[in-house]
Amino acid sequence: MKHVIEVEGLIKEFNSVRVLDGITFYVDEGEVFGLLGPNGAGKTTTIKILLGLLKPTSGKALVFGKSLANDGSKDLRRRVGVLLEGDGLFPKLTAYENLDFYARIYGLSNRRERELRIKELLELVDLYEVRDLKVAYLSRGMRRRLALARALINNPKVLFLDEPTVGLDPESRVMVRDLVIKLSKKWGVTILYTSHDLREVEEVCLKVGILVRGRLIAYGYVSELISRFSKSVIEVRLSRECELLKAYNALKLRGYIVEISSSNRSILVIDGDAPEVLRELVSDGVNVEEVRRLGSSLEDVYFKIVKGD
Amino acid sequence: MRRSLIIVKKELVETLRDRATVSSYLFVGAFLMLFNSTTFKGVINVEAFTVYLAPVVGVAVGFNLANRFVREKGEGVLETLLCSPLTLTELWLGKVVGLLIPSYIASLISVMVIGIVRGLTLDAPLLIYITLVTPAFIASVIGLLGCLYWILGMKEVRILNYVVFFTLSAVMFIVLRFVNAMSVSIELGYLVITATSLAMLSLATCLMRYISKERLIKP
Repeated sequence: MKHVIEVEGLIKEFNSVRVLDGITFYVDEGEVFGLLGPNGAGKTTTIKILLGLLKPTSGKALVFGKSLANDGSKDLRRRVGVLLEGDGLFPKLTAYENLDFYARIYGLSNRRERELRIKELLELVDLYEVRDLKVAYLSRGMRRRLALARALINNPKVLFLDEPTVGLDPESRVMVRDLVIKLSKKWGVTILYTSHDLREVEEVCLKVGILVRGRLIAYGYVSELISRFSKSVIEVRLSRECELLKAYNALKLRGYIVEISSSNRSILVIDGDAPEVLRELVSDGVNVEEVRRLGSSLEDVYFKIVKGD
Repeated sequence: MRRSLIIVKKELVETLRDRATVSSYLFVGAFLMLFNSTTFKGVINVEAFTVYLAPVVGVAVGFNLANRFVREKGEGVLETLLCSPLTLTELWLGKVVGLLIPSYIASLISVMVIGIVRGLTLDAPLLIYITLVTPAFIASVIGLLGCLYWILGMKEVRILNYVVFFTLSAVMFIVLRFVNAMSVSIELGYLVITATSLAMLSLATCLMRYISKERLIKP
């Protein structure tokens, strides 16, 4: 299968400072790919190079096999939707006028079609009631939702979403998350997604790449990365809180990596074998109420990679 | 071209809702009132003054509105626009025409006011000057200014404004003084201004080739 987004050996330097160091990843049709990393890792720079806003120092950054940096990429741009850190909305125009402006720019010349599309999108992001309000008067969350509608005005085949849920309330976050899933699963839209909310990324993305200081440290399916990088953590819940220190010392003496959980009466054992831990605690006379293996998440993987936990 | 017209329409809507437009028009109005109340009929040659006034008023208003070339960067709109099928040239052209219209209207209003109050006779050369040379001059100034803003990556905008404004005012003054002193025909003066306008527009068009998206979006 041909990749929709191809990034190969991408290097970008600003005044001899290397901000992207030979990153490579591919995104296939209908996939949601999450680009993660701390601030300054190079996520936005990667997106901007893919969008043709920045020129790469070397390497490839292609969308549908072509570079968006070329002057002749107008037709390709019609198939791409963009939501960057800035909302891309004109504050003096109303919500409706903003969408109408972009619809015209993307070539929706038929007035009736345009009206229908704008109405559909405003309803989708729950802003139809405020369509005649100037953007300057909308809340941060409303503007972000309107920006998402703007990014979809041209029925894009590829969507670049740079932190789409920043400034949104929990309800709107869920709305955006569900919309992204629907766009990819129902309509086959390929999405490159960045966010600092790792739970959100885990729910939305099939594949992720983790960037640290311009290097792609981890890349692959979310489930694959979790099983490869995350630690096995066992939670030991004690019957009596007073035995917490006793259990902690007993396990520590036997060489386990242990932490006292923030919730009372439980100890976390990293990379331990549950039956063995239980056996050893019982032999030391500790009253154990429950031993269970905790599920790992993308968050665990992320912190392990980024912070070296 | 079609996309430039979309930009023109958007600029006009924004202009109507912009305080900068109101302040520009108030400034022009105040200037005209001051002019009428402090000068006496016969002291100033009204025709010669109109030649100077028409472009200067238009350029002054254009300057006031030209921050639109820069504002979109601060508002986080420029990057999104540059990701659309719009080319830089279409965007620039749309902005130039969109800002030219309110600037030229201010210029026309000032000429009309002077015409009515001071009894200006519009002969053919003056009519051509006001309908063709003046808008061309205003457009060239706005176009060059916008282009220079972009080349500088939208930095040092205020300094650039002062440099361009005072240079142009000086050039206009020298040209018109030269026309008077040398007793050459006023048509030659018009020709010089037209040639200057075309030169500035050509320069802006050439410079547009050296502007990259990266330069525009750089912090």
